[in-house]
Amino acid sequence: MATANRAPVTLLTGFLGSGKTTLLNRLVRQPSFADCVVIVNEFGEIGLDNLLIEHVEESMRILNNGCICCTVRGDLVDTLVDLAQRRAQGMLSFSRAVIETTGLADPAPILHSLTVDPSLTPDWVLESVVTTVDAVNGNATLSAHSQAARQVGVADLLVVTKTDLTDGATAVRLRTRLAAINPQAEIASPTDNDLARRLSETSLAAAWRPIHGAHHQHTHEHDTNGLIAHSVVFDEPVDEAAFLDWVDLLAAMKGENLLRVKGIVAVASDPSRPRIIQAVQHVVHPVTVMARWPSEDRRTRIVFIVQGIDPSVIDRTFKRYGVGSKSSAATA
Amino acid sequence: MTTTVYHNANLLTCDQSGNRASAMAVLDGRITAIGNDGTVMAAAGAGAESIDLAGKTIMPGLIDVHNHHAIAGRAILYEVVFPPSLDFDGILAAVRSACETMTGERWAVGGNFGSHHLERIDTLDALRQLDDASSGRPVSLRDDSYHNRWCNTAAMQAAGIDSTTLVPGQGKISTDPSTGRATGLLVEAATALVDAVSEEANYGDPAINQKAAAHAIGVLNSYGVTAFQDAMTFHGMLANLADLDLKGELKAWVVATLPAHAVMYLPGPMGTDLFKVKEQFRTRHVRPDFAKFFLDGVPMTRTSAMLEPYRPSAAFGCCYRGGTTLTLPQFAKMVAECERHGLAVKVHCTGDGSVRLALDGFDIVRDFEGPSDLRHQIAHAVFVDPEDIKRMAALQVTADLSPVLWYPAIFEQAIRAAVPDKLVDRMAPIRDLVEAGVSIAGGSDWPVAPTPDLWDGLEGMVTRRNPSGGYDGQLGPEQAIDVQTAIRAYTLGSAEVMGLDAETGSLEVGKSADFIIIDRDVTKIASNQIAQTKVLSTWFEGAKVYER
Repeated sequence: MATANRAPVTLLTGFLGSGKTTLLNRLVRQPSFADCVVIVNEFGEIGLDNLLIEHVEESMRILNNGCICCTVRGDLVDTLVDLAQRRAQGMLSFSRAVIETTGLADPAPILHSLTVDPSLTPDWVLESVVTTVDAVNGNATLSAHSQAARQVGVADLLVVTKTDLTDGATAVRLRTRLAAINPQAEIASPTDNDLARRLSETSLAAAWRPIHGAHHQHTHEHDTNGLIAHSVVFDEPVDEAAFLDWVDLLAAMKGENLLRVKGIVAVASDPSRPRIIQAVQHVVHPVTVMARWPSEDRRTRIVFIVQGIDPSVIDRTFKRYGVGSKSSAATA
Repeated sequence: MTTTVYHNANLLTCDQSGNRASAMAVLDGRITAIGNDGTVMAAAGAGAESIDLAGKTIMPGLIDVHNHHAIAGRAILYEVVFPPSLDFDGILAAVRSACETMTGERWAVGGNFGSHHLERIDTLDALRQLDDASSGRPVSLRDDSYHNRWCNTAAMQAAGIDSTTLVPGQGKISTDPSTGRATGLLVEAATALVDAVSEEANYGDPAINQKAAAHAIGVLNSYGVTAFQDAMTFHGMLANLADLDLKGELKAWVVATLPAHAVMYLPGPMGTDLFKVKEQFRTRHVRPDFAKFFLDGVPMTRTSAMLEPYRPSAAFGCCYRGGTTLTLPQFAKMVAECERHGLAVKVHCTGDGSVRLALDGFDIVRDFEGPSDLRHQIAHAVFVDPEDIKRMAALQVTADLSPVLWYPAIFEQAIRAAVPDKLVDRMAPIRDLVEAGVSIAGGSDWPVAPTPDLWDGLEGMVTRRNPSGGYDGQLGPEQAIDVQTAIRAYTLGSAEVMGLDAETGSLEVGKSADFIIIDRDVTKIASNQIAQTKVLSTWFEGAKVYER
């Protein structure tokens, strides 16, 4: 796969009224997003129109910072294929993309297309998923709408909006709940000056955040529409081949229940360089190797954001298949 | 309805305890009493009709866990049929004679030529001779494994294939090494290319297929069979069976095995599309309760997945082991899907490598999905690694066994040509399976076997010899089982693993009156006489469906 020229994609999701467009407005003004293409479902009335300088054609506009903004015509995949073709032919120039999903969208199918659709993978690479959560309505929305919980579940970065309109206690409750659904995601505020930088830091390729206070095979379950964040922590390095086979097996057997998997893994053959694993539903990303451990904690730690399965399946099959014979299987 | 009492009989109940009796009362197709003449007659009352069997032997109707009844019926009624032992010139003569009398646009379809001809027919010279014999009519002949076809030029043209055609999956259009031209030998998945066209030409009309199915079931009845598992039931076949049953014309219990994936040509929907509609075809006697997988092919063409290499050959090199049609995660995922539809699976595994993959798959499914009451089957379990025998027992996997595939015969010789002797000598470790606690079930694999004669297989399990006497030798005599155990594999044992034991499989009060009257007591004769057993009459739900 030609990776050199693939355009990184930031997927921007979030429930209706959670502030996606406002965040998008802010993002595209950042220098690091100056040559991006923004893909939206429709040109909103406020949206990005204030930045508009030129209509290229009905579905495509140029913004005053140089960004290209286009609306999805029919299928998102078709739009992305079309953009990549225009870019290859020199008709358009951009170095990255932001896709704003509709508020009601289940983000999983889009993630799936970006990671496996052979018409997209040569030209695009999913970099990060950013989900906006409204501090005022977030708690209620998460309880009422399974899509909202799934949007939180797949996120690398959660941007909590409208904090100025709510009280401190509500904000804390929301943050606790977000951490329960997705302990791996960073939580940010839209007014953070370094948001653009943090976005690229949160890139899928290298992200690993220590799970604070992680316990062995600990499961957080709150009122989160059946979404569960389940972590597996394992002291001994594992056999890399066995571990990867297990992840493939888990994705094959239970992919529809795996919203997101992220982990840092100690492998017996190369213990000083941890592996980062990522999976979205049925798709396991190629493993990346980190040059060194990000902290003193050198345990294997994997977070599974799942819906609709008993997480004991993960523990049981990990111990049986994922550890490998070379490890002493000293699991808690 | 009047009660009928069959008395003065040598009655083998084939129940769990192997009880014997002398009389049985039947009312409305069900057994209402069983025991000695006096008690059964007393229980039946004065109005009962009584039939004196003059000491003849009665036992339950036999159960065939593996046949392809509809394919067999079609072959008998509509195809060019010859035995695998027929020599090359004989095959050409059979084709010539068939093509001379055929009319219309139909193909000359038939078989089964012996696998030992594979090398000879894989030549342009053989193709020219087949073309000469067929006067321009498309010809497609199956080998005795049913996994390969020999086609003439007209068939390849009608199917639009030549040496450059892309073959799906693990199939091959065999070519002449010097010219690169297709020889007409199509291996495994490549058979789909011609089968799709010949199927349309010869069997587009469902009435033809229903007639074939009914005929085949009549043949099964004549061998004493009153229940069977069709081992690959296409959508159309399932519809035919249900239709026959609703018309009151189905004379056997039928467990259907729905194709889970396309390895060979499949008319109509398969997999989930078929699973979703299966319940509309469930009738009193038709049970769409299984799904079919093919994890490999057959050893003679080196398409079985083996743990140890085949014999070295120019084409395959020193260390070829074959391969499986699915990867382990693919298989496990698909089995889980079948289970979600309430289907157990029957997995074609002729190599010990595919058996291992199947067991690994079942193991994974249990780990990820938890326990299940569904009992999966491995067909044909010809090669099974000793380690995997224990796993079969632990996973409650049934061995679906057909002795015709391994006792000394033309098959066994063809396998020996491809597989090292030390492995061939260990084929079908039935005694080890039984002692490990694996459920065994007997199948004919008709029409891969020329007849659905289960007595032949029953004798083969007991003697490890070819009952025909045409082939010397004994394959692994230490793996022989006793006659009672073998009978169980063709009666109650099969009923249990097919989910029919509440209805049939033994002669017990409450069960269906499915029984046969035979000319000898198979438990008391010399083991080399078992295959000579003649069925005098076959009774399904109390009604006579065959009389010799």
